[in-house]
Amino acid sequence: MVGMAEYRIAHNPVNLSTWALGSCIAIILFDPYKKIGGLAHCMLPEPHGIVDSVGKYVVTAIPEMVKCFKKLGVQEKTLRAAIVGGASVLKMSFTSVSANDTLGGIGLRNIKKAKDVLHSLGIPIDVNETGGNRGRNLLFKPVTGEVLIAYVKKPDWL
Amino acid sequence: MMVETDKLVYGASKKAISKAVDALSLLLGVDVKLRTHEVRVIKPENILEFIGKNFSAVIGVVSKFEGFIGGYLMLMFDMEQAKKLLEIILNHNLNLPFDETSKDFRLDLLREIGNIVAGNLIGEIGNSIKGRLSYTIPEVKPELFPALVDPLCIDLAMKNFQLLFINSILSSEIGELQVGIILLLTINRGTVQRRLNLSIHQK
Repeated sequence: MVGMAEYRIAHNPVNLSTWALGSCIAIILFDPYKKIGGLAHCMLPEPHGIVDSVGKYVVTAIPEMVKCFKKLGVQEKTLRAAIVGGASVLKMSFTSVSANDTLGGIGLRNIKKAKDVLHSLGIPIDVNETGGNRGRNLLFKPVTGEVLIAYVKKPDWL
Repeated sequence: MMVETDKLVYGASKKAISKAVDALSLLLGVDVKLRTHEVRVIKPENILEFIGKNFSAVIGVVSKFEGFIGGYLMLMFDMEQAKKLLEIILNHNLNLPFDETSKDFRLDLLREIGNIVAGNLIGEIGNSIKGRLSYTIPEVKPELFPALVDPLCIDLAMKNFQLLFINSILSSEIGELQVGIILLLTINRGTVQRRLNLSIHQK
């Protein structure tokens, strides 16, 4: 189970999961040959100042995971990615850092940053389950490469 | 570690929550009590350590407040208990069966509960710290509890202020009815201190 602002690398048969992705974004990196997977649960796209936690920011978490994969003998060119989350769960928490930020909403900014960083590293995104206004639970199975996503069901009386 | 202004806000929040509890008691027609009240200074990303491994689906009623201090107020109801709460309120205040109401009406009622609690609670904090606070119309959202808390924490984390996390659980005599109240607020200590000094000087 990967918590907020954390990242983990796992070999088959260990699975990786994270819960209640709201505005946060989960980034999965996967080597389909060695069946090694990594999952980061990032809160923000980038730091403004010191980096207090590598897993907290998209721009630091992805390169850090790639570094870990390289230490395990995985080449960058074999990696595949999945991105999940970045929702606008609450309308009122729609926020932007600067007046020039046309995207607004931290969830959207997380999605954009994840796509930009992965693209710059040449890692293709196989699963893009992002945006919307609902939280997500996520389970990733390195043995099969499956990404399982669950949503909360709204009560039928509401 | 809590410094003077934090202690002031803590004291104000306890009084404010008591006021909100009284308002809920009137609304429900039964005694609602404050069961636990916890205050901590925390980093936003560590919030899950303090709310526990609670991954249940809840109905959150969330309001944002602003002024010289800002933050979020969230009421949290178990999904089935929220329905029970509405049944009680409809019966006690309007003599109206739950099944005769529409989904929109139920949503509005939850929103109004949030409004009543926010008005009492945030209003009392503002009174205690001698400053006006305004709050948004509450938003009602059924969702996993951490997924509701996560965007609030991120928003507050970006402002780089101290984060006070106030967690209260209310209970009543009606079975296991429980309501959680979470108050996340940032304090610009300098502003609060100046305001307090000014009001003392004016006396």
